[in-house]
Amino acid sequence: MKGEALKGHLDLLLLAVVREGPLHGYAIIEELRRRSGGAFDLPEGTIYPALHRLERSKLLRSRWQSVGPRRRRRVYRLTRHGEAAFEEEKDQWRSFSGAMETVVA
Amino acid sequence: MAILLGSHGDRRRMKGKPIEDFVRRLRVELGEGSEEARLVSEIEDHLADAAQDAMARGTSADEAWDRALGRVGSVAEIVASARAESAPGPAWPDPRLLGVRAARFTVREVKMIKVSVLALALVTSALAALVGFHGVLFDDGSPIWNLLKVSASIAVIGVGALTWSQLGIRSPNPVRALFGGALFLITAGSAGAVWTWHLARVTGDFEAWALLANLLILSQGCLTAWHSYSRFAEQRS
Repeated sequence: MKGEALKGHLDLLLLAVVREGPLHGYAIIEELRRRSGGAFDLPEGTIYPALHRLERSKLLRSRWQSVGPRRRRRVYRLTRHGEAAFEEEKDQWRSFSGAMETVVA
Repeated sequence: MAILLGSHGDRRRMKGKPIEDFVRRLRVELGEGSEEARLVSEIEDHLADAAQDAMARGTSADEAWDRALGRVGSVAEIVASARAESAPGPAWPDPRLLGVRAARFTVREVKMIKVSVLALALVTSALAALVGFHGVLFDDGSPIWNLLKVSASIAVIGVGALTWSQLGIRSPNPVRALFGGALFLITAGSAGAVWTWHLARVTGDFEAWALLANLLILSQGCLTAWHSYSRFAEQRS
């Protein structure tokens, strides 16, 4: 699935992945790929600006975390507002996909 | 072509001209700023992670870096994404920021709120008309006080008319003016209620009808604001 088709749903996908627990950017993208069976194919670097936006919107928060003696990573986690937004968007997605299925099937 | 090296910095650095070129171009294209620096830093980390992962699976170092670079996207794509994602949003605050669950209201609940708002608009407009009419013809208060009462009455009637034109007749999308009107009602209703209560305490003359009217105005304001906001939340989503 290409980027254009994914763009409208990127927030929900990212929130869904981060909801499982704190993850750094690379792990988020890998998890997204794993869960979608490789179907979601976005240029990986374009995910980070979306993560930053979600953080600016207070749906995610992040902090640097040391990994070994000389390395650190930015780790993202869901906020309380992010949890609420995820539930809200998930409900909307279910209604939407149900309606689509009814029409298209 | 490229190898992963430990450094004195916070993360591993990548060595290899294509990677260095890529990161340098990204830095130049994104421009200066802490947000941009963070993005570059994360992309560097991402490349390192991706290459390391591939190498752990047995891919050669050169091949691993090539793949990582190929999957991260072009500089232009990342810059375009960064620009798009940092574009200013709508002037209204995101309902999610306020923890507002407006969009979760059922259609029936939204309809009930709307009907209540319309009913309250009628009642408060009628009361405002009475107060204004009384103020003009019979009140023996000071001219400034009368002017204030009449102006407030006209404003309440104006918001009532706007409410009906937006929710009752034209439907369905609220305009910002209606939200502004709701804020006026909240302010005026609160101030009126407090003033009435204060007068009752100071003079001993408690005007229950005035308190009730102001509380109705306050309720109308709160419900109108909530309704407008929930519609806005719906539109956003």
